[in-house]
Amino acid sequence: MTATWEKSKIDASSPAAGSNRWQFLAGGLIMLVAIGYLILSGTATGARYFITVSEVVNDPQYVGQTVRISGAVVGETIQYDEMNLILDFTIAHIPEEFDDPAFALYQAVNDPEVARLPVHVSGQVKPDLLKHEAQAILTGAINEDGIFYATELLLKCPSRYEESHPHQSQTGTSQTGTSQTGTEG
Amino acid sequence: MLAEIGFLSLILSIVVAIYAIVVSVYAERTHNETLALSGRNAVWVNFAFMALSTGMLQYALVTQDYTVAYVWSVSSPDMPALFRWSAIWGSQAGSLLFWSFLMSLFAAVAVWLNWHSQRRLMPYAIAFMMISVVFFSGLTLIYENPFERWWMTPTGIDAMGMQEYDVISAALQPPGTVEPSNSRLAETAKGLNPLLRHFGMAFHPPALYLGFVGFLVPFAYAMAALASGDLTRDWIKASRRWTLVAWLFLSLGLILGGRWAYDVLGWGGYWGWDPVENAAFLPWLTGTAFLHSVMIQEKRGMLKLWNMVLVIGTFSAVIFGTFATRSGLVESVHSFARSEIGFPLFFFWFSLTLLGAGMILWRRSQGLLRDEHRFTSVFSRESLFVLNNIIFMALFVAVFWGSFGAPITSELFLNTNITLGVDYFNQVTPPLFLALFILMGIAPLSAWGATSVSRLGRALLMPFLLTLATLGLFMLNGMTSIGALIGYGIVSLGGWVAIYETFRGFQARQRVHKESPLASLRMLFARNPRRYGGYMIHLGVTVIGIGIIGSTLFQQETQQTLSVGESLSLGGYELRYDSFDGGQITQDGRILDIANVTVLRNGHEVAQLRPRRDFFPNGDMSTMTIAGAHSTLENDVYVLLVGWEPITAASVTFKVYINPLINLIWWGSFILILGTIFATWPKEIIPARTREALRTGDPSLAAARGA
Repeated sequence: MTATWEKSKIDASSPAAGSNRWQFLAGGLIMLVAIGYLILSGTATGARYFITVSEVVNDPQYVGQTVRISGAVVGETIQYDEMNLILDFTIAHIPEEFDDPAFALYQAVNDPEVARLPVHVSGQVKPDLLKHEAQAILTGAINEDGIFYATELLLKCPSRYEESHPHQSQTGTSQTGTSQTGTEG
Repeated sequence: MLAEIGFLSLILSIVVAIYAIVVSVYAERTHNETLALSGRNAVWVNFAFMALSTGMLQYALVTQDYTVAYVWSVSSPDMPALFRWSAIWGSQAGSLLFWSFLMSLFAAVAVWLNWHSQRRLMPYAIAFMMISVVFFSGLTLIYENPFERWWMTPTGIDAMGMQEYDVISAALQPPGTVEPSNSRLAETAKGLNPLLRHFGMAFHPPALYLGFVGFLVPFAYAMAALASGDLTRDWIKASRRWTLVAWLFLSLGLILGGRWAYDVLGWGGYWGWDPVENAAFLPWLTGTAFLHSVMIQEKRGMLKLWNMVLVIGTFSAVIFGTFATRSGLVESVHSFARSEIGFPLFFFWFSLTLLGAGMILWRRSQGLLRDEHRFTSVFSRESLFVLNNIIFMALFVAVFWGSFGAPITSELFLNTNITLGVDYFNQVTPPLFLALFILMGIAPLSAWGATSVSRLGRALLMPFLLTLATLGLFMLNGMTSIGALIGYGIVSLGGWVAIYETFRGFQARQRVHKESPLASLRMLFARNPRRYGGYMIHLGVTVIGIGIIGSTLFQQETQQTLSVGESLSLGGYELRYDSFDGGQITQDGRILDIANVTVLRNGHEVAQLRPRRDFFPNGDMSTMTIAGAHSTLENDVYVLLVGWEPITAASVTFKVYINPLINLIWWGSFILILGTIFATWPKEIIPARTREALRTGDPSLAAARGA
């Protein structure tokens, strides 16, 4: 976008302003290079592969490499030592193609076939949103012991994985099925 | 019945909006004044129907009509009244309707205020605004109808001999169905996520929406100027104030979102560079750039083309952000329903951007966007403003690349998914922000055309000395980090320039006019609200900047388990665990576990805190950790209740943060919002007599009238 602007300005300049033209051009060029360098070097530092649980479990190339993953939290595996802030839980692989995120999470934790990965986080307060069938986004690396040591744990924030349909019968109300109602965050 | 009225009004509002588009364009091409007026009135009728439609949904929410599917899904009987009101933007369908309603509201007000002053632009502006309204209300109607109700279809008799039903949702009653019982439905309604039951969350979405939607008006004026070929300064004048209004709400929305995260999410932070946050920040960046560069067009008739790009680009960024966050394009911690509206939104974004770019190029080739002056000096106010714009654009590119560019590019071309984490943003953005702060110190002092270095130096002297004094104050308080001091210095300079320039204006008035100091100050703001409102915004930004540096670089944290009477110490504070109030039940059915904590400094008690955990047994059994905070201008002592020994609570684990200077962020935000209100405030509000006095230059009269 900056380039567009530079162009229009040069178009407008006349021979009288010629001496300034080079100043503007040189200044603009230096800035473009500086900004470009800033963004590129930041990219080199901040880039993380965002991969699946199955990839991190099955591909040895990721051992020790900092990556980002997303998985479905298996509720009964959550263990929290609140005195020392040590948090362990297991996440399950979420299928890559899905229409309904809540149903994908439900499937992930209930399918015994999909890859699972134990996660270890220390020094963090257990987030309120960490529970069964929540989606966790983690940054960290898998160790040779097969445990993912996370340095950052994020949970899909205000989400409502619950029934989108009431089920009514004469005998009373019960609820079945899962689907998501998204909540604006 | 009411839901059906809402549904019908929505349909009628679309019909009327389409009429407004057709009639306005036709009237403009045939110079038919009667039809033009009809188009104008149609905008108001559209608003009336939209208001009725939105009002019906609001009414259903407030009166707890759970037979409306949307009401059932976002509210519950135990929810407090405020959140019943705010539930209208609690989920996709309602928020889309509310968004369309706001668009229609902005269009109606814009037409009302600017019909006479911008007569030439209005018909096309109406067309562009109504196209947008039709798109969003159509989206609501077709994909996310919030007026659908539950209906029961009998399916047979079960083993117990009871009638069984299937529950389906439909806007109009399908044949053979019966109406479900509202009280039965009320039992199963679960309501808004507990995390969203916070005042920040009640007002953050509408503020943000007002900000997003507000950019529609300047966009429509710019497009109308391009379409009509009337590219004089009029459209700029009309767009500028609307941009300020939108900018005000967008800033407020971003601030409230940060405050909510700080209060509720319990990580001691307020901004996480998440794609959804960034999507709201992008139009803020281009909007801010426009608010600066527009001055150059007004004063010097330059950057005409660029301003067009910024106005259209800002609205384009709004729509892109809406598309990106609601389509699941990138992985974010904010969850939005991944619904079918992604494709239509993308199509709308793509066509409006293409159309905007095409029209700019078309008018440019006709020479209608040629600048009236040239850049003569590298060191002039206009050049520094251009530099400001370049850096805003660099931030835009950097944030866009980090949140959307890199993930999409890697997905498309490298067949992998690469995301840029917080590290990227923490490395790339600070130098750019600091560059902006340097410009904020220099640019307001430079002159149009050309500035001599010695003149600029003289003007900078006082603010510079004040900045050094500020740094001295930091050092007296034990600040030793050179890097932080440089940061504080750069950030402070712009604020001191703003204060000093206001003071100089005040002094000049005092010299010339015999009036009380307070009257001088009021006249200063009344006569030049944009300039002094702008300085106030700069001051607010400086205060925010100091708060960000302090809380980011010097946050301290610890976690410890304490028995009753024991204490921990952190950053000069002591924290004593006194007692525990477990199992407190509130009216709305929450169960609270509260720890009583005393904060001490140098042996003196300074605060009693009650960090707690709320448990929601009625909802989805979720918990919510509410921090206890002792806030002063110096810092926040932010205490989280992590856990406790079951039943006895003889020992409790706390996580404690000390966030230095964090309250400056909220105070600076307050100054910024106030400054924006000043800058936006129409001069017409000043009483006619006072205006007369201003024109005739009789200050005693003006002062006497209390101007």
